[in-house]
Amino acid sequence: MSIVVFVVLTVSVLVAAGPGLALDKWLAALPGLHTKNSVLAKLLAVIGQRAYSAPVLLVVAVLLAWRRRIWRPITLALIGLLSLNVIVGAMKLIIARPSPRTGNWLPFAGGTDFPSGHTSNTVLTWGLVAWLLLAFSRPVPTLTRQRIAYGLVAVASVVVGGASLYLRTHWISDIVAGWAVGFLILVGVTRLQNVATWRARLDRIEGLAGVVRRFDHRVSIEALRGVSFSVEPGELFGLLGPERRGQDDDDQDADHAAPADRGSARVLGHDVVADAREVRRRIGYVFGGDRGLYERLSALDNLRYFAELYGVPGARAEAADRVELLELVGLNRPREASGSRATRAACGSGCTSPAGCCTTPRSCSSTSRRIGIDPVGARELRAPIAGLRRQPARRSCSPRTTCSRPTSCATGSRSSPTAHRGDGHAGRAQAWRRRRNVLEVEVFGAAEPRSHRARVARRHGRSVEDADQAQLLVVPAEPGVEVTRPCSACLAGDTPARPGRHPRADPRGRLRRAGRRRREGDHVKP
Amino acid sequence: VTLRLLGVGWWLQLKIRSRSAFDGFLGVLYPMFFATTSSSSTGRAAHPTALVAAAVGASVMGVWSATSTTASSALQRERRQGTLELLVAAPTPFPLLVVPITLSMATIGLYSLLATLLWGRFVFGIPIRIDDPAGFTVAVLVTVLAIALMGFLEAVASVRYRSAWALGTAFELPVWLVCGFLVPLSALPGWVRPISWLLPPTWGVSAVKDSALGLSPWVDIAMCAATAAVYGLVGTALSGVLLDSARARATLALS
Repeated sequence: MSIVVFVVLTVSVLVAAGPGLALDKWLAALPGLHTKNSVLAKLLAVIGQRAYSAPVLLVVAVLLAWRRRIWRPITLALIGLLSLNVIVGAMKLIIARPSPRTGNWLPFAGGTDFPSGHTSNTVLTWGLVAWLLLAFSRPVPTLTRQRIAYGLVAVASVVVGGASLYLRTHWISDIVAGWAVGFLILVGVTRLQNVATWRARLDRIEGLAGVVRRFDHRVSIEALRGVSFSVEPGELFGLLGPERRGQDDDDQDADHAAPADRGSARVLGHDVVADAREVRRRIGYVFGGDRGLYERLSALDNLRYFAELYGVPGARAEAADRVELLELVGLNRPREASGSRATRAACGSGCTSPAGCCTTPRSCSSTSRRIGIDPVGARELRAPIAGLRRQPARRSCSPRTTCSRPTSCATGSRSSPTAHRGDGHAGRAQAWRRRRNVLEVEVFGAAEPRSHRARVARRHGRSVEDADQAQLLVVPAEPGVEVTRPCSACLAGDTPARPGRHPRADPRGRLRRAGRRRREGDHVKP
Repeated sequence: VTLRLLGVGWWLQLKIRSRSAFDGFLGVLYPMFFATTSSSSTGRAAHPTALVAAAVGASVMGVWSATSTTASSALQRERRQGTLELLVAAPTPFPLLVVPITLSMATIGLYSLLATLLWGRFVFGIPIRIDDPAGFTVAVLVTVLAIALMGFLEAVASVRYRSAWALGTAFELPVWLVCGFLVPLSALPGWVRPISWLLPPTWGVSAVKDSALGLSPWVDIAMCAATAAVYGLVGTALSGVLLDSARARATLALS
């Protein structure tokens, strides 16, 4: 939009005919606008002077850089100021339009008024100040504060433009073009930050840092209390625990289905609050159950519809791929409307909704035990999922019951250890990670640690380590051998949801120690 | 991209709606009922202009009825199917997902419009004479779009209410009267007129009547489009508020 305004006005000035110039002449002829010295107007115009705004911007950038221990705020501020000077300065010299006080509105007549430096500077510098404060503040400011900050910048821009018009230092087209140029440079600078962030965090699928989620509807519940974890590429990450322990809230926070009250969450390098739409474009979120599709539409139409909704590029061209996907899970007639078979088809890619599978997401989250697949369905799904193991997609899920239905997530995983800290509504959850042929289970707050350990160890003969109230079970497995279900059966006999204290030690440390022992060949306890 | 999304959404939603046998049966029955009621109450001896006005009013009545009752419970149906969460979680703006749904309902109403006119022609002998075909076509399309936008607002406004379907039914009959579908606006009390001016179908049905009778419909079409745009904007703002509220409470469940 800004580009359009800018191009239209520039062309209007250059060809000396157009709606912009007509408005210029009409506004300049208004009797209310004069060249008297108005103290108020001059004071307001000061907002747009670089001599005052640029130091403020640099001070803010330096403070943020010092506080966050990064150079990026200063770099971005300097790039913004430099770009403004170069671009606006060059345009002023090239177009050379006089000010309204001369009465000459034609370009190339020896002036330097197009575009307005005051308005472009106001938009850029004050916009950058607001953006830097919002982008580099932690915790992430609320949406209301963001709106207020950007609203103030908009008001300042309008005020400066109005003052310039009143003082007849600029034509209205100069002012609008100044806004457009400033806005364009501002957008460009913010995009640079996005690129930097993207490069740095692209390979981290999900990351939650100190997320707090509170619900104050009817009763006050703190569902998440300082939860932090990260999921790396290729990793299958599961949050397991009893009902209502906050696993769903973790996933919802990560996917911006429900934003956190405090802390930050990122998915594939995008902040779930600031870039909510980009996050949603990249994830496949499965809400669970055998619903989530239109039963009166064929499976293919369901996929087509959700492909459009989720902005899958080349949706039509990929129709053939989707047919293959449906055939992969045994749906031979995808054009027939049938709820049950379509559900099965959707389940086939590890997701139970068309939205989850048609986007080919790099990250796929699913919640709820309702996805829980019956034994026959689970067996049928394992084959196609095993076929998908070599694909680089990453999947994370959080079945809500402890170990009863982990089969949907216990496949296709490979990656490095990650950390899980904090509480999910008191935090008696298990964090499951499956690495290359190794299943690791952290069990918190088991009722009888010793007997539990003995049972599991006897059954699988693998490493079990105590750490306060938690045990870390490490089960190496041969490729293709199912170990999750036997482990689940063993652990189901305990009461992992028993309230208790949480381990104070960082689980990452334990994982590192476990990894070191494995490397040293000392991971099997007698 | 947006047009494509709207087009695909509209077409697939139309597919969904056209596959319901019960809705199809009602869709066939209702226009006949409307045409019969309207033509009978006007009387065969009435002036031809009054007969055409009655037929046109009854036909737009079908569009409104097809939209109002179903739009109010549209999002409830999405919730029952488990697709509401998917729509909300999609990266596409929510209004662009709901408008095709209500537009498909209004499109189904287009059949009602045609069937009503034909029923009146062949059963009651009301001549179908359209003096300004271009104006008539534009007026019908704008009216359908306007009713779809009204349905959009209705759908969004009733998403949190368990008895949303009743809300739609409650709106159905008053709009028949207030918008001049059944009786001319001049026959209504003066205090009703400002209310009817706020409703896009008032302008829409007036435009359709004028174009059928050879009068200029363009002012009415413009007013219909303008009021419909206001409904669309209000619906968009309301959907933003409701979604923010749902995210804050982490649920799309009924209140």
